[in-house]
Amino acid sequence: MSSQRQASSAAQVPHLSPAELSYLYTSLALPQNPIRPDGRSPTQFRPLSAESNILPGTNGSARIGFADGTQAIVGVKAEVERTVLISDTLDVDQDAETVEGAEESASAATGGHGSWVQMSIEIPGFRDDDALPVFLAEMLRESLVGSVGGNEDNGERHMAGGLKGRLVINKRWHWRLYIDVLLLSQPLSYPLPLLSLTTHLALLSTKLPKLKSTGEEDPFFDDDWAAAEYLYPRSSTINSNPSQQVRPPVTLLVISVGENVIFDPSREEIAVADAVLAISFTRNSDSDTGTDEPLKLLLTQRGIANSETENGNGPDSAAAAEEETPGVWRPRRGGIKRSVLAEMMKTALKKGGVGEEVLAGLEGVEVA
Amino acid sequence: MDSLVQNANPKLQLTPTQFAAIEPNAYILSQLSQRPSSNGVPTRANAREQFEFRDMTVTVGGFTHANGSSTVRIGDTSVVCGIVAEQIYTSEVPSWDVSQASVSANKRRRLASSGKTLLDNDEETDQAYDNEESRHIEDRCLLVPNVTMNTGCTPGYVPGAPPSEDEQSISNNLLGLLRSTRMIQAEDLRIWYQPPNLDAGESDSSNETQLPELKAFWVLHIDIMVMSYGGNIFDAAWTALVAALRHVTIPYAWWDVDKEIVLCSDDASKAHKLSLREMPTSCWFSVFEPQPRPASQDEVARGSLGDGWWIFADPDGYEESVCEENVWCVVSKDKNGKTRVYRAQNVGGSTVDSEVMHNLLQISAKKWEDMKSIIDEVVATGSPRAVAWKGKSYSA
Amino acid sequence: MNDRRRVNGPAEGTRRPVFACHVDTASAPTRPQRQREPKAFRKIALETGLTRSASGSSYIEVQPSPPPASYNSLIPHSSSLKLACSVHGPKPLPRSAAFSPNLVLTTHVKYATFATRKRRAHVRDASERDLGVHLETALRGAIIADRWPKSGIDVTVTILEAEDDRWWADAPDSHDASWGMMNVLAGCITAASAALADAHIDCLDLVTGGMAALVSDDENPDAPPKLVLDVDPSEHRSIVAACVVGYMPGRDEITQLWLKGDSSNAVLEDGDKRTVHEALIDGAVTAAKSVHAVLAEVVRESILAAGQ
Repeated sequence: MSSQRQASSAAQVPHLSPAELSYLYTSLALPQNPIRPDGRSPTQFRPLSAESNILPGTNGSARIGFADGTQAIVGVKAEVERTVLISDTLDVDQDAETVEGAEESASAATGGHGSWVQMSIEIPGFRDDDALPVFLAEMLRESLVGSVGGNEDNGERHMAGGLKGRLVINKRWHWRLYIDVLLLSQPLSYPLPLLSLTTHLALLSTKLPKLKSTGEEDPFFDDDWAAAEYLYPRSSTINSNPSQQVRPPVTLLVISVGENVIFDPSREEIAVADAVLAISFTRNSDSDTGTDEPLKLLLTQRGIANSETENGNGPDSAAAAEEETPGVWRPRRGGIKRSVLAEMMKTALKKGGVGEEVLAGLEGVEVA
Repeated sequence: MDSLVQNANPKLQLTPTQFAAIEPNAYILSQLSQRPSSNGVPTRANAREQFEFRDMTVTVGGFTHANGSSTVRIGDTSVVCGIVAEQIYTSEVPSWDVSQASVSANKRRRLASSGKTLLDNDEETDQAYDNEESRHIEDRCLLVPNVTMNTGCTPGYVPGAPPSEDEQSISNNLLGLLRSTRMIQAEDLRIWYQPPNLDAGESDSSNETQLPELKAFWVLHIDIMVMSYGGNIFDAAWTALVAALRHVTIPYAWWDVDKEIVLCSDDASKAHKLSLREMPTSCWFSVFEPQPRPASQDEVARGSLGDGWWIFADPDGYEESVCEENVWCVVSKDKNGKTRVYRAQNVGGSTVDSEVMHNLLQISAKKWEDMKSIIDEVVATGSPRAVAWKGKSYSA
Repeated sequence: MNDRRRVNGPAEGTRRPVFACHVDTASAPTRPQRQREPKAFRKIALETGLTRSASGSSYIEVQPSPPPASYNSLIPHSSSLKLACSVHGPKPLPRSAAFSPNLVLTTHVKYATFATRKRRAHVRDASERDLGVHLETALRGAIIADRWPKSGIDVTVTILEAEDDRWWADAPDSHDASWGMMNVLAGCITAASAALADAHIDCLDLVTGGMAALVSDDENPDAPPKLVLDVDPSEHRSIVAACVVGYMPGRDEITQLWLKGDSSNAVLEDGDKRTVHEALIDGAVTAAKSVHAVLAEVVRESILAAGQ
């Protein structure tokens, strides 16, 4: 049943004729120099407008609108919660502190739980337990909590253990983050990049009240909002190089058509793509590793948008299955070669590549 | 049967499968009337005799995280049952007070001094104790059986959908049967705490120990998943449930006064099995009537099975889809070989009279003998191993 | 929140039993160790056609790692994958559905309540839906969907026993992601592929699931993680990154890729020019290839048996 609904919403794919799809495919697949319907270069993004800190009742928020009219709003709320140690194996809390060796309880204390970040996505026309919102939420959340590398220079451990580590207040208390993502318009194209960029901005603007208590006492906070600290620490505090800081991950959609790798695909472009890849990455903040990869890969998922391809215009007859008719497009079968996959990831992640550009662009928003 | 089709329409050629799908009533009837087996007994469409049960395979164990588990395959039907034991503390039960366990507490203390346990004395029936027993199990919902068919076993059940009426009815019948047969003894599910005898030194004249306190119960979550749908789901589910109950291992548990929680020992040798009072067997029969019933009841010939209607033991999915009337018998035998009847139900029609019902109960009692030996055998093997049973025909 | 359509337990809810060895450090059990070579696989058992009421079905079971001698605890030593898959269809789409020129694929994944150490709920949760979407992606690339216009096919996977996310006595630490799910997905893909073949659905190739992970077993956190195939998460101290692929060996193509974890700090052996994630994908593909051998054998046998 849910699949029917999913299919029907994917049916918003423009009903291009097989000939039109074929034309689109051919122009996108032109070697070296693909021609996109809107004249963008393969790595160029659609223009967007962004602002952050728009909802005063939240700890952090952001709005991003694409030029085609799709808009998303993200609000981040934080609550203090009691930490239940080893809740997974035991349903008792305090008594179990001695369960593991000292080493393990220490790691539990600095590590934090992935479940402390809760994410909900609302998309018009979908129920909150439909496959698409659930899948998107899991994907965004997974990349958020998946990042564990921290900044360990200057003797200070900033963001050790990534976002999860940042949420730890002390051994007995932690922050719980609620990230609510709201898509304001019908999903005109696959909404993943929009939602991810908005979430990224909202998290960058998120502030947590300054902790006044110390050590293991019950936490209490400074009620001066001006003194609040950013969830993701800002540049001036530790060092001035923004590329060294921990940043929330960003998830991008990349498609491959023929030999070409194309970023930020529109709905029509996804419909003819050979493969669709979602790549989550963030800045590689480990300064001492000295790798020439400035970004680190957190999560990739292939083919997420295939449900849209599926409902694009199929072949006219099953009998012609073995023959390719020139000028008539048929959905591609099968998977994707490893070499293409590697190329897609490389284009996104290499030094000076698209990923860096996007992160720098988003950094610009919060300064403004 | 081919001739029958040709008579109907000489131009239309139907394969037996097509005929069976289009005219199930006529198909089953033609099988019954035209293919008598060697001894002259009419044979069903599935080549079974009327009271012939299908082959059955029972396995216990195999699912690591369940305290007890079983797999039962009856013909094309297969079900998996897993039982997980969890706890509920009496301190968390609203309106719980000590008096609700006073009878069993007293009895426990009395028996403890004589070195026996509550489970040892089957003979001693005590009205007050029995009442408390069933009250604990029923009011505290200690047994939670649920059947799921959303496993893709049949196209009719959409995965992820809420339980259908069939599933609800089977789950409730399982629960009703578990309660009314009183198979499970509440004592197996109780976790006691014996307070230390603080004033032992002063009053050593009386050998009275402190009254034990009931601290927690075990709750058995019994989940049955139908993996393949081939008719007679209830019998398969019940067999799986009984086999899994026999396989359940409950860890030794005690109340830890300092931490105020119940702790369990992971030592397998300290754990106990459930001591089931009975092992009832369930048998479904379907009544097949090819023609609609005549209005007047008197016209039906009484007493002879096969006069215009037949009874199918252990119906398969195809037969179930045709038959509207079902007879459900649940019987057990006590130590003296006396048959106890827990259910004798006729649903969906009025063809079956008392005499037929009596015959069916006798057949069920014979099935019970076989069933008991299968389950005893499979439980005795311990490690996950299948015990197969060749389907056979019974007569009343 | 009581569902009146089910038989419900006590309204107060129930607790999982707490074993004394959880609380008492003295009797803490020993951590399981991987006994296999990094590139060696656990044995798998695969069977098709068990659910006779479905068009096609399969059952897959991974052999659990053997417990140490004289293991006598009630706490299960290891958890190994057991799952059943059934396929219904192709069948006509319901009248209400929109026209589709292709076969509409629907996938469902559900855990049995007793599949994991912690009892699962009856209602599907987010991770089960997530698995369903991943499985759909993996299969969609392999099915030749245009041969069945206006038709639908339902693939349902029931997980009777899932893999652990970590060793049971470990506290969930910073690497607490649900790694067991990735093994489960690989199993789902393989089982679904076998069931599709059993249902005679035309596919480009038998798509198989494979899993590889970077694990760090050392006490020393700075030691480089190792690449291992077919990982049982309970046998490793922590998993840095893992990858699942749906792979079609006949065409050397990937239909589904799920790579997660933070592989930025990992270093490969000297002379290996691949990036870490490329190495992970290659590892998962190697795993899928070896599973494919089993899958192809099973499908071949079932066809031969049906022909007789």
